[in-house]
Amino acid sequence: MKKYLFVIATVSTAVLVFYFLRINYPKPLCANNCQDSFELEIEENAKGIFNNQSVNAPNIALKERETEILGSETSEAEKRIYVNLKTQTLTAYEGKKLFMKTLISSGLWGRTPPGDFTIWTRLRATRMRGGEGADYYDLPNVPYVMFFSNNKVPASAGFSLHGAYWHNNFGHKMSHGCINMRPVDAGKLFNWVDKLGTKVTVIEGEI
Amino acid sequence: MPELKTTLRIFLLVFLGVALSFMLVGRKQLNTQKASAVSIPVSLRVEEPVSSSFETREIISPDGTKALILQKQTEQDKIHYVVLTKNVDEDNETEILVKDADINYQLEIPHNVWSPDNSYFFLKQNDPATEYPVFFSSGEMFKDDAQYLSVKKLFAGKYPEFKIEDITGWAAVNLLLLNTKSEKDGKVSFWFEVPSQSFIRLGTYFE
Repeated sequence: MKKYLFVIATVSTAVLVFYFLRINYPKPLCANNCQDSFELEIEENAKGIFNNQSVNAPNIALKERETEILGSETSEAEKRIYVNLKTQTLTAYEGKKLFMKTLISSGLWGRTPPGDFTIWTRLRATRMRGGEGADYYDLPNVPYVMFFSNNKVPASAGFSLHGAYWHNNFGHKMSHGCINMRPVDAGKLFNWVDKLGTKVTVIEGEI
Repeated sequence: MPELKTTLRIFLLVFLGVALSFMLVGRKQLNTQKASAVSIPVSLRVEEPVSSSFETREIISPDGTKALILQKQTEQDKIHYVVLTKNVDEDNETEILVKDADINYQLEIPHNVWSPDNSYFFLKQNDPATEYPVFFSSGEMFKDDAQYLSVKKLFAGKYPEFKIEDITGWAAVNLLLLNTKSEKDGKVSFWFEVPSQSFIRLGTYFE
């Protein structure tokens, strides 16, 4: 009898531990299709698909500043980026000085993970695709992409800040997890981020 | 039997102890997450440049290449509106709309007025009820020589049981996003496809 009770107790504890880990450490969804590497990808005169509509992707002209190795120029004051999922705003600070404040579009259905992240790479442009059926999208030349990650949301999940040329509904959730910005704002932020490891904090609402 | 009761009691105590410890750990993680975030400014407010009798408001397109300008001149109980578009790097302006109205008439340019490819823009008009006219950014006419499409009028003709609460922006190149409400169905979002002037009911409500 004792043996059976011991087994029941062990199994119950194991089940409890399993659900605890699942709830507190959920496996992060990927922002687009999960992938092992992210590379600069540029096409000329490309067309994308979003919400079953064809969209002309912007042509990308690489400039020297956009391809330089990060870390060669650094400012003294720490640069930090904050994203508020409730108000759908992004603010960027250089020390205590506000650099930018703008509207963004984060992920629908809670797909953008909150937390403290760091930018691990940035690409002038790349291709993003995912979804299924009516939700399928294939978007070449997504501009000014800055991928971020932390120990819970790995780099392979592909969450990033980037420009979005296929919609203009900023201030409202629209994406599959990434933080969409107006391309003009994304470009400004991209050129301002001057080193890898720049911190990005995503919060659910006001503190 | 006493042994069984003792064993069950021990099991229950162990189970409760494990559950309690997990709850406390989970709460500690939540507090840590809150403490690690930094306070950020209030949500974005769009600036309203004002002069006593003449006001100008400008919204740049998401790609930064075009500007929509709303000029408002108030004289006693009359308002004179002019809506213009221009390329950002040029001086030439295209006059889209000139409107003289009573003081209660309000014309606004919301944040997401430009379609993603800059072909169209919409305005928000209040007098006495809200209307959302859509224009070609080039000043081109729609079929039947219509200067603009009246989204509210077209929608009311197709879905009289719904009331438009807001048009937040563009879900895609040609798709305006409407948030509506009806007594029977509650909150429902629609797309308005500009070229075909048709409405598509959505399964998701875009807040």
